[in-house]
Amino acid sequence: MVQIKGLKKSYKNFKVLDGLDMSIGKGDVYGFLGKNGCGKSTTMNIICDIIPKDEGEIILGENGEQIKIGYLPETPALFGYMNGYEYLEYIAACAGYKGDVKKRIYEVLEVTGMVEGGRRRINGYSRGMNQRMGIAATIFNNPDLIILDEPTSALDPQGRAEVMAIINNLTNTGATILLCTHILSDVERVANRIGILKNGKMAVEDNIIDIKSRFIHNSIEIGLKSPDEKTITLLQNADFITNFRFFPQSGLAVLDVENADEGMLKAMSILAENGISPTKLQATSPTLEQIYIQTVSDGGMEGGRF
Amino acid sequence: MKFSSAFKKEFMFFTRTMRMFGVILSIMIFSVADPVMLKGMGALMNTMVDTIEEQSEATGYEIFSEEDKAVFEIFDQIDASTAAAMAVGDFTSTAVIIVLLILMAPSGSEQKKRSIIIPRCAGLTPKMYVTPKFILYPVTAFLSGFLGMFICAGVSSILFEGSFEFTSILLSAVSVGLYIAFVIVLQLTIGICSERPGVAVISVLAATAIIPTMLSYFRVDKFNPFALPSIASEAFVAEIDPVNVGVSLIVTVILTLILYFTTLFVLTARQIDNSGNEAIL
Repeated sequence: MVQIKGLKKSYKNFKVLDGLDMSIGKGDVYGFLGKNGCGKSTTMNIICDIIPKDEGEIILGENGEQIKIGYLPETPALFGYMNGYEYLEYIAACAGYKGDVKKRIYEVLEVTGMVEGGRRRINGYSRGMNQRMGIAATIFNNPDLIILDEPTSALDPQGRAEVMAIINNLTNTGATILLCTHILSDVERVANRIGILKNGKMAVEDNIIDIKSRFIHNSIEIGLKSPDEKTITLLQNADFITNFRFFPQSGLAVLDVENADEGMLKAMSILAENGISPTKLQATSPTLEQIYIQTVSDGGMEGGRF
Repeated sequence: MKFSSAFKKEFMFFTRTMRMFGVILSIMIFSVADPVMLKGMGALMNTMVDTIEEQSEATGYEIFSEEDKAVFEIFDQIDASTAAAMAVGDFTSTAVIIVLLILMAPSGSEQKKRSIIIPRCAGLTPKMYVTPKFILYPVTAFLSGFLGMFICAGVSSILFEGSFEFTSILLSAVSVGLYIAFVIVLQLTIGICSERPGVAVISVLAATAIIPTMLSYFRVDKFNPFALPSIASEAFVAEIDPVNVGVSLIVTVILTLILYFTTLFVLTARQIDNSGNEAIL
């Protein structure tokens, strides 16, 4: 659906994008991540032809067909003097919508939970309502590609949950979505692919499952039923661990090791030798947050060991 | 996109934000207030002169000479035509400033606030964005100025002695209305092209002050939109050059159209296509 090759963009002397390569397939829910100011919004604006690129190739659609794009900018500015219905009527007119406009307005308002809110003037909306109306306008014309720039930013937890529920519903319809957000749990919930932008280039881009499996597991979690000082000391002083953390309230011991498989065997051996029956024993995979922080931090590794 | 939808959006903005009311009211206020203030000023001056004369008699000292009195008594010589002619100045300066400030928002504010992004991505074209603005606001300003001059002439004829020829009022009204409309079109052009409504207001105010002065310096003070206020004023009190009138009106209309097409051209030229494929946004 979207192929970007060698995209470059500078603002005066500041290079924001320095040869970005990106690939979004049809039906993908692509989580676009990166530090503040790294170029995510710039990339989205370039895809939507809002700002010009300096260099690079952008291919939209497969087999050269034209595609419709719906773009929700961060904190969308709507027409406050209109109510939701009027605003969507205007959007329908902009899009040249050929079908039953009233029916489609009702559909998108229902999807976004704004059937009642749509009767009020937009300048009276809360942030969450504003965001939902923005999504309604973005998806009105059934776009082939939906681009959402920080759709849950500045929302309270309830507002965030409502917006994420809408996005979740959209993903179930098979829409292709490019989602930019800092809330990694949201990305993990809805996205199947992620791309992490660093220094103007794509540092990591793949399916979430493949990325996680590529980042080597090196933590073992051991749940202790009745943790005593002897057990803790035993584990803490084990020669195969690089770091030891113990959480007294949950009785959880986390052992960082060089190699998870080897570490597991040694941990099991120690526990068996000392007659300790753990409530939990598992190698943990890194969270998206850990992968993200490792990737974007200075000196962080990219796409490899973690 | 249907033009009616684009026009409806602009009309909703104009009415619901009370800007239409503000434009009409600010022009109408001057149409009534100017002759009233002039009359009031005359009455005030007469009262002052009477008071000073009484004091002169009481003190035996002549405070005012006959020449001094003549200056104050000038207000007694104002007739309806003069009053209406003097009101044109306020119409085309103070009222215009107020209208420019009221119409800052449609002159680039939407682009500055990025509220046009979602409609643009949905398919809004420069023509459908710009055309309703260039119709609604200038036409409203023209009609307000046009009617305002008729009201001003009517109030002047009630408060002062004298009368007008209908052609004088009509010519003045058309000139004032067209001038205000042209200034609004200039503001829209600068504001939309620069995406800076504040810059547009300042630029237009500067232009309306500097350009007539420059044209006058180079003795080209005819046949242009900035000659319209003079034409409107002279229509009441002097013989006017019909060629100047006709050409100025036509040139103003032509310049208005040029500004409209310039705005369209700039916005269209600014449209970006980053993709190799033709994408419908």
